Amino acid sequence: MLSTGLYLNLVLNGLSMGMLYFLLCSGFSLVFGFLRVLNFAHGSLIMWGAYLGVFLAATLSSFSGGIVLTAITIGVFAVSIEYFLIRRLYGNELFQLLLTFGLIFILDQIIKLIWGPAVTPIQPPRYLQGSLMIFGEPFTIYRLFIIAMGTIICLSIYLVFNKTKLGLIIRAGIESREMVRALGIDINRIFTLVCGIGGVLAGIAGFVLGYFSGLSPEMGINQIINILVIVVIGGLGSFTGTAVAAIIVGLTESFVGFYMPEFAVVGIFIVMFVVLSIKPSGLFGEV
Amino acid sequence: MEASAYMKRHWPWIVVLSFLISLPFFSSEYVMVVAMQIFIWGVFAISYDLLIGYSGIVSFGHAVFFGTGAYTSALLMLKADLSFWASLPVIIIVCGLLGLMIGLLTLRFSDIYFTMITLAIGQFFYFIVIKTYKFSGGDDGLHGLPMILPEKIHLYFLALAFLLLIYLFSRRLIGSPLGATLVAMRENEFRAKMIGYNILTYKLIVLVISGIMAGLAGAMDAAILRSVFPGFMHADTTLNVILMTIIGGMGSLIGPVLGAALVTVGQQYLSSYFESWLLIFGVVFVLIVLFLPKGIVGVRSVLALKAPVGGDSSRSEAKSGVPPR
Amino acid sequence: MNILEMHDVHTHVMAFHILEGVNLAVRQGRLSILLGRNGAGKTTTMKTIMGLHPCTSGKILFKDMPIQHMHDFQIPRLGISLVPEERYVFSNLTVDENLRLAVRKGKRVRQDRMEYILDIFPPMKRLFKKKGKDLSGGEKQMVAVARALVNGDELLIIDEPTKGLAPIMVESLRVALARIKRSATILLVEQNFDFSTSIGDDYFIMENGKIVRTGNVEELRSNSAIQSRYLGV
Repeated sequence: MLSTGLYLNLVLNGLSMGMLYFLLCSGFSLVFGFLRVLNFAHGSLIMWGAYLGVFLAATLSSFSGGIVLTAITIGVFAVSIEYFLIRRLYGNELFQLLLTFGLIFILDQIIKLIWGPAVTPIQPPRYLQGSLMIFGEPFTIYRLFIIAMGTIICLSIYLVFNKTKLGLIIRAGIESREMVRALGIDINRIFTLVCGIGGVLAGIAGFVLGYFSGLSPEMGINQIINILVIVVIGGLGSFTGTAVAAIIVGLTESFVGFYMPEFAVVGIFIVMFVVLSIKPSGLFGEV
Repeated sequence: MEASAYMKRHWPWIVVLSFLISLPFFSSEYVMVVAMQIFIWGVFAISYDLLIGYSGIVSFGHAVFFGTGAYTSALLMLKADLSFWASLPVIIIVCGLLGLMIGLLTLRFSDIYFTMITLAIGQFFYFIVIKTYKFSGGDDGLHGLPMILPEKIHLYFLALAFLLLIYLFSRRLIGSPLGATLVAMRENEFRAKMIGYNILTYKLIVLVISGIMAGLAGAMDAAILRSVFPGFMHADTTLNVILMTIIGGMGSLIGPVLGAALVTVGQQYLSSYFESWLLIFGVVFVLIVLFLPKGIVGVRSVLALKAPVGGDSSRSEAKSGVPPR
Repeated sequence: MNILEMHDVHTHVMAFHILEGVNLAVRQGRLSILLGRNGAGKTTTMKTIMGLHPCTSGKILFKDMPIQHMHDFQIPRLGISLVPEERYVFSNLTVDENLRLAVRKGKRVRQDRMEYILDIFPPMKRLFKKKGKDLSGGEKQMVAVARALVNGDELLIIDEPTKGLAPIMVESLRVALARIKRSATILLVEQNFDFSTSIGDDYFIMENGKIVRTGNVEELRSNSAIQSRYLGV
């Protein structure tokens, strides 16, 4: 029914969507798994990554320079939020949640003030435009770029997690912060660092997203909803779960988008309901 | 209690009530309309406070009830030719069942998980609404609902009565044994479970009640605006009610109404002066979360407490957040 | 000399006054046992020393240095290791990673320390690649103690190590602790009277948040009056 070429194209497409979702979710999942802070403002940080990124890339006339600077800026920004705001509410999960929720208003509104309410499509740099013929079907180069980016980030996270002492601390801290402290490790500083990494990932994700789907002040809210659904599907507290869920959702959207375009938007929820009815705690969840 | 003693004790209420009752007679229609919005959102916020303030249930999909109530009412009035009053029992049943269904699906999950799932479910309903044009009018919503009462001023008093009714009912609820159980659950769910309370049942009950209240508020809103929009179901609506409840002061029942008033007024009036009144509210919200957890109504108790409570929070404990054993 | 001293230490946990003036002195090179009925305050004492609970008043001295106001993560760096009652061996980390996490100086466990640990706990050789969640209770306890040995700390605080262990594991633990005490000072909290008195040198009996009696374990073993009065044995 489907030609092999088209089928593979859809798979590749789904993979690129999945990778994009992975990028968007990674920072959130990391911060949540380690700090147990549900950062509702993560979507807004992503949006800032997009707007700021496009601005910086234009100012510096450099796409790669833009991505690096944006990543650093949003990382620093996330650190400040943790240090000045979230830390004051240590121990009170509800209020931390509400705080990040309140930040959405502030961050989103500032963007609207500075850049206005319009939706702006953005063109990626010349060398990332256009498409290649893969499996007999055109495939945009930017999507390949997304897959590459996603893979790089995924590998980096994997390496840090499993091969470095920092990763060791993070993995242990997810289980028991108290014991990590009892080993003489100042876990508060690691918290801040992880928040920073979360911000860096948000910045990168936003940057990549901006050139892909354009800039819109609704981005923040839209993305955080996607992120929450994917993290729920993957299972709370499981970074691997998030990654796997992101790919699954991407693939689902790709195929649903082909057969029933009107329902592409709902695809993500369908996956969620299906997964939750089979395994209520998510794919890799341990609730 | 004797009448004069009663009046002495409750004089602020009497003043406010008198003011509200006489409002339509000395102000413009615009003010009346804004006031009606405040009453309706006040009910919505009270329903949310029952969850977050009293039961410790943090739902981010509460708009689903508001929207369902509104759409149900609108559809019954438009397509089934039912009067508003006849549709009320249907709304109660529909929202009650919805609350039951959602509760059974989601309440078993731990707090944060629950919060996330409710947000997802809420948005899911939103998408269903905008995708089913034939049924719900899609992006445009439904319009042209008949006037349910001959004059706007009647609507005003209906909305006011609605708010008072819900408020008094909620007060009664909180004061009842059920209310005490809910607070016990919120304070220490583990301990409550150990004493033998079936947490799930109680949470389910309060969710259903809250859902019905929110649904009625939605129906009211639809009746007054004579329209329904998909926005009623959107996360933005939930965000708004959370904003109101927290700014006003959660866990106080009157705080959320106050919050509703502040946010609604802000929306209507400040938006002509400040381009981003929402930004200001966002900042206020964050400040309240950080420094004034009891919200505006808690200001008095914060001012009364000069010294921080508790004697021995050394840096280590505060920083490590280790639960003592 | 006294490696650890507590002077009139009071600790409040939430509203409760748990430690009501604890006075004790742990002599270096000895194995001191902290005894007492449930709820006497033994675990709270451990946690206060480690900084997990702030003490409301009093002094705690480690090698004559006051530590009562230090952050909890700073105290292990002084050379004090805790083996907590719950063990807290990280489930998703391998045994090897659990040990490496505890290393304070450098990337891996020092060769000589590793040899020492394997000498005390030969079964560990097989366990390195096993994840924490795949360990038995006895293996977890072993790893928890081994972890405390990684840095060559001078003071080990061990909380109820025999809890939930099969008798054969209890015996091998006893042997291990007897050897460890030759090169480190141990403060042991333990309900198992026979276990603790067979390796202990000094004892402290705790009751209602205070040390009510202290002395030589030899004396305690033969004195059934003290035993029944304080320990219900």
